[in-house]
Amino acid sequence: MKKERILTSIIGLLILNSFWSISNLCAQETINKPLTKEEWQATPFYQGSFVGLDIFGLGSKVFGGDYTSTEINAEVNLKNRYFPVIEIGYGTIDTTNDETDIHFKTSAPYFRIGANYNVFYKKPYLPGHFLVGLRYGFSNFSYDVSAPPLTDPIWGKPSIPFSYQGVKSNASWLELAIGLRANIYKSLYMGLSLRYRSKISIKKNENSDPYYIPGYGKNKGSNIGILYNITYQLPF
Amino acid sequence: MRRIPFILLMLTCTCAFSLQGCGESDCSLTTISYAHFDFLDSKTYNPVGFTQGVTVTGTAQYEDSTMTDTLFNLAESSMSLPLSFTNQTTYVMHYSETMRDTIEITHKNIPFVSDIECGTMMHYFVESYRYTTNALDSVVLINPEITNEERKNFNIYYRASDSE
Repeated sequence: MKKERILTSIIGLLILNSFWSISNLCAQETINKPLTKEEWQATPFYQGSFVGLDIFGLGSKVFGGDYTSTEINAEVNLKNRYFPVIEIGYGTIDTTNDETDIHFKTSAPYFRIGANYNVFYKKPYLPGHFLVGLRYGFSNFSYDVSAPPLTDPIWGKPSIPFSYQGVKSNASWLELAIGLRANIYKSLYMGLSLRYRSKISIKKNENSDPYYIPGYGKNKGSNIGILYNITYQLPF
Repeated sequence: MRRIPFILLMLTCTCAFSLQGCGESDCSLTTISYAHFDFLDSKTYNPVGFTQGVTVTGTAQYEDSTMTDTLFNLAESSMSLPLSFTNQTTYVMHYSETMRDTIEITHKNIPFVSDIECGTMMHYFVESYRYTTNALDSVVLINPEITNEERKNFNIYYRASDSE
């Protein structure tokens, strides 16, 4: 209960931080004027690169979640409009359901590739970006699953053991991303990104479906995810 | 630009609703897998009903013991029967005191979990089957996969004039 309260507070602070950043963006707009189409076309094609770290996935387990993910990303700014991006992470879960006593464990890398689109690309004076984007994600992983023995519910016997180690699987999915990234200090940015994930494929197995897919979350048809990135703009 | 806070607020609400939805269970209502049988007329392929009902007992052999249980006793044109955790289940269909048929199914047992929140269950794959033809005409396997999803597995054909 205490953990949930702390998690709620953290999420609240993150959202407040985003609103604060948005307010800054709005205030800037009243001072400056957007670029004309000609002015924007004259801007350089390459306008910098970013590397980032997601801290939301790292903190998930500390505050009561049953999985963690560590994720870094690299992004390129093309004309302040298009931001091709790759995201590489490592997802881990080791959980036992209290009611069913079924244990599931996996840890594996995942990859996403895609691009963001800066909605306000003609407003380079804004201290950040309002981004919408698309990702293709995939992960190859193996998992362990075990449960108490199954007992015949009609005839009462026999009991069949249930334990499978190193079950191989893979999954791919699409993500719609929408988020905000605001400059907080010199080349340092912070950003919130909401993700709508939709599964494309998953390799099922004879005895089990994976409970968790690294990088995707729980094995459902669709998922909502949150990333909170600390991003550094490289000096070249 | 003034719309951004509104958009972000909508996003936050969407997220909150989605996270709330995470607590809802997607588990199936049953974790028992049943073999589904339809009773059909061998000439017209229409459903056949038993006016006086049919009683079905199931028998499984495990180690030195033989276990028998009554599984079905209704006057319907279809039935759903559980299979045992041994690799062979025998059903005896009692139409009357003296008239009965036996269907013996040999199956592979497949322990399965789809979601750790929903528990384990047993799926089956029909490897072979045989039957007597005292009242029934024939038994046809439609789908060898027997799971907790409701799908037709066998058609049992009768010469309708004999069974009604």
